Amino acid sequence: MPDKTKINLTVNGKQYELMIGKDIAPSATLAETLRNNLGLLGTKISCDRGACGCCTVIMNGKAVLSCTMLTVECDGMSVSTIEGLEDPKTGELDPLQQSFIDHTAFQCGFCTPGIIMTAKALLNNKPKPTEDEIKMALSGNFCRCISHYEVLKAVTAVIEGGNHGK
Amino acid sequence: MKSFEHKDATSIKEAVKLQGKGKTKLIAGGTDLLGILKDRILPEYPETVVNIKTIPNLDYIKADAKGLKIGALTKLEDIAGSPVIREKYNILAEAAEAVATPHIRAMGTLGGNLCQDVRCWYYRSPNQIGGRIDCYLKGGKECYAHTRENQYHSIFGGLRSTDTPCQTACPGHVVISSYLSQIREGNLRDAAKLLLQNNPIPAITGRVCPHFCEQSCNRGEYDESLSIRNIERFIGDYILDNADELIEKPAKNTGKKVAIVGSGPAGLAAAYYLRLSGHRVTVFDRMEEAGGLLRYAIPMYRLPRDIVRRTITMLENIGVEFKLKADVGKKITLKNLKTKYDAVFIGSGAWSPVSIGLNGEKSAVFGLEFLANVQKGLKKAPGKKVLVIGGGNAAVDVAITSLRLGAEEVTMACLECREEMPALPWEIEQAEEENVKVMPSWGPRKILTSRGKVVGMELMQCVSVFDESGRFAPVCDETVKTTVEADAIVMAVGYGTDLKFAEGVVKTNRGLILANPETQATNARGIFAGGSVSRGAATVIEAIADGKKAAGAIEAYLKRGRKGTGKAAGPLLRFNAEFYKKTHKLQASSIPVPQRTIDREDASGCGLDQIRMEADRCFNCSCVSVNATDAGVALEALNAKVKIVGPGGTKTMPVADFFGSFPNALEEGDILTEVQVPAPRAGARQTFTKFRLREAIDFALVSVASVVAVENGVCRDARIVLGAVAPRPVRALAAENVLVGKSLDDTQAAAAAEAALADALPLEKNTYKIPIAREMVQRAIATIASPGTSGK
Repeated sequence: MPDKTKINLTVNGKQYELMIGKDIAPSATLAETLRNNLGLLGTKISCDRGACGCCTVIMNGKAVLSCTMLTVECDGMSVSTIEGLEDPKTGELDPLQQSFIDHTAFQCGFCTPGIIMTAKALLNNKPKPTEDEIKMALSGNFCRCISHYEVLKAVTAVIEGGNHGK
Repeated sequence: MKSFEHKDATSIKEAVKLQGKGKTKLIAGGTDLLGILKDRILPEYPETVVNIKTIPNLDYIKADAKGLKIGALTKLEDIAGSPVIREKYNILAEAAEAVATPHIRAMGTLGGNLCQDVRCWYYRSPNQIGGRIDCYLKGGKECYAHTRENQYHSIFGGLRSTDTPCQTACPGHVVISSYLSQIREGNLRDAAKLLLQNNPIPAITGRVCPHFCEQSCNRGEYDESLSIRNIERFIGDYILDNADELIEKPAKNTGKKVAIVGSGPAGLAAAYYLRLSGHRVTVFDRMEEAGGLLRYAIPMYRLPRDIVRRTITMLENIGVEFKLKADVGKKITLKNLKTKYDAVFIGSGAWSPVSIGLNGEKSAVFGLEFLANVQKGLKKAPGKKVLVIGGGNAAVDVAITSLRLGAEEVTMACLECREEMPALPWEIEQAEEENVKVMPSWGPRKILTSRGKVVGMELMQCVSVFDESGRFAPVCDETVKTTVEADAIVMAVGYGTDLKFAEGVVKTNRGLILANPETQATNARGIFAGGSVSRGAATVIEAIADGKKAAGAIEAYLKRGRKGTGKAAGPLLRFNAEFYKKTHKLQASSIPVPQRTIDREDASGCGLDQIRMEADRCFNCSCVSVNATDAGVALEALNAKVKIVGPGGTKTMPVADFFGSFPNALEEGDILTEVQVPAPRAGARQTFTKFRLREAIDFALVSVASVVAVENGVCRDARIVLGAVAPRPVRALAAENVLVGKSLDDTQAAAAAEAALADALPLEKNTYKIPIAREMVQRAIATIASPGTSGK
């Protein structure tokens, strides 16, 4: 296969073309590209080793760690970040985001985008998960402020409300 | 992250090929690799990262009645969620589900879980935090976990990650740690056999070798190095005592004939290995007795004659023929040998004087000739006041021998300063202990004579011996002079070769036969050379190494074939449980100075108890990290196999063998492509448990997988595998043996658990893992005995 010179990436519905070696180094992680090239600072880099979940984005329907994948390997992929959850026209927050606010499901908020993206992927795939399933799905998202109890309430409230947004 | 070239492989073949080009790393899920690259913990940062996710058809789960086939790129999440795996191979699903976090499982692959890099906090210490830790595994000298923080490490011993420092330092590459292990097990026979693999004359090297191995022994950094010398000497003598039983004559003769010129260590080694391969071996030597410098240069107080003779007899007994007083180059010529024999090895040594261009040099005695004459029976010192010129071991031998033969005063003068003297430090110490006056940094200027007789020598101060590039280029200050009175001057400044016999047959250069350092082959087909004749002044073990290497090359030449290689699977390496207690090096006793003679050995050997205690001090240097794979533990219990594609083709091997070498069986260019799991037998029950501190992300402290076939309450078959307890998953064979044929109940479960950990060999700080592992095995078997109850 001839060496790739560029990649195409869809982020929050928007198409991007990135030149390898110019826009991005072959060693750039998706998290770095989202933040440094696309200015999407909602995705956080914390441990940068795939252990904390702060960098979680949704790729092709799955919650994945953007710090632990190379951007060059994301050619043709479709990615959703925290910025893509609100309604682009009305600016209305996703019900999950609103529920986090309603339940004060964060303290410092650094890990919250990752938690919300993980929860979002879960609800997209399984609208009515059990409490154990929610806990399992979120077991890769770490929060130093101990927001887990409120997070559980916020996610459960969305399920019970039946309003998952899009 | 430091950058690299990135390539997408489109086929396994392409990936194998790409891996062969320079420093490369494969990336699949990337969950292990990217952290490793960010922390720069690899000894060599990859130039190219080869993406194998772009290879089609490596992500599949195929099941039929015979079993399961899983593509290496299958995500752990898909394995955990696969209905067929959950139903029939449930422990594999549970193990996959126990890996890290859901995010990692959505990205990480089965192949990646099996091939993950070493988990050790020293190995993985990030470069950006205080610099990379070059542990033993990364080319450093030491395994830090072995003697420091080892809470998360192995409780069943280590696996050899690279050759040990002692083995690497040994020119003969003797597998020292391995034969010491056999001594610890009380198995002298196997210890002897391991030693003989690389050194056929250990009774000799145990006495005369400088033992570079001891200088690089890791224990030396900790307290004091091992006395490998004394252990080797003991096993060497054991070999001579039991040679008939230990060394089997070749079962078949190949009909090929090999001639060996010279019966020094190089020739003897070549003869031994070639004879064991079944060739007819004839050794030619110009002297009356065989042994070369072992017989005619090394004094008997260091190497008793009896030891040399018995070594020769040992070789004769396996069928090596010695033709003595046969000077090749006279009646017999090298050309004759070449035509009459299928191959020739030249190990004729270096026996000729080297002139240093001094006026009246001929009136001096040549050191090697003096030593040879003593060995032949001369019992007279060269003079009353002897001056030995030279700073090497032969000079020391000459000086001590002269003293013991009655010389009143012996002085050794050499160009080198004390630290640079080529003789070994303890030999110089011994010389001084016996009253030899050592004068480093003095060069010969003029031989002083009176009435035609030597009366002494004028020496001048030597300022430096080597130039900046390390070449021999002595600089002397002629204004600083001294005179040493002597009625005999012995030159021991170097030895040259006499290559007249080789002229026109093999290529030579500066007095040495040119030999390929890999094969010892000369430019002439079928003629090989090694030892001092091709490498210049060499130690005995270097000559042995050449002889062995040449034997291998001759074997290949005669068979016109090549021997296969491959990483060999071995058992976990054990060491004395209390190896970390500080101890001293074993010292053999020697005869008091006044009683020393020229023909009685100075140093006595050590007894079996002593050398066993010394072997107990060996770290058995290995990597004691644990392999953190969860899937591998379940797969070994399920008796699975892995398929590996590499430059050498495709092979399939049991998971047990895959983890048998460190860190796994993959060799350069190899890719694990598929996992094959046989269908468990009917009635087999399975358990998998993983104990860790946090329920997510953490690696196992201990995990246990078991597959037990039960019929009417009786155990028919059992496979119990422990994870995170060693550098590889550990089969609890003793526990399985307890269970098979018994009806399963709590008593048997307890007995099996006891047996599973009976062999444990914890490090200083991880004994806590033993009761955890024991409890887990007990619960696993109890769960199998009464299904429906929870083993957790």
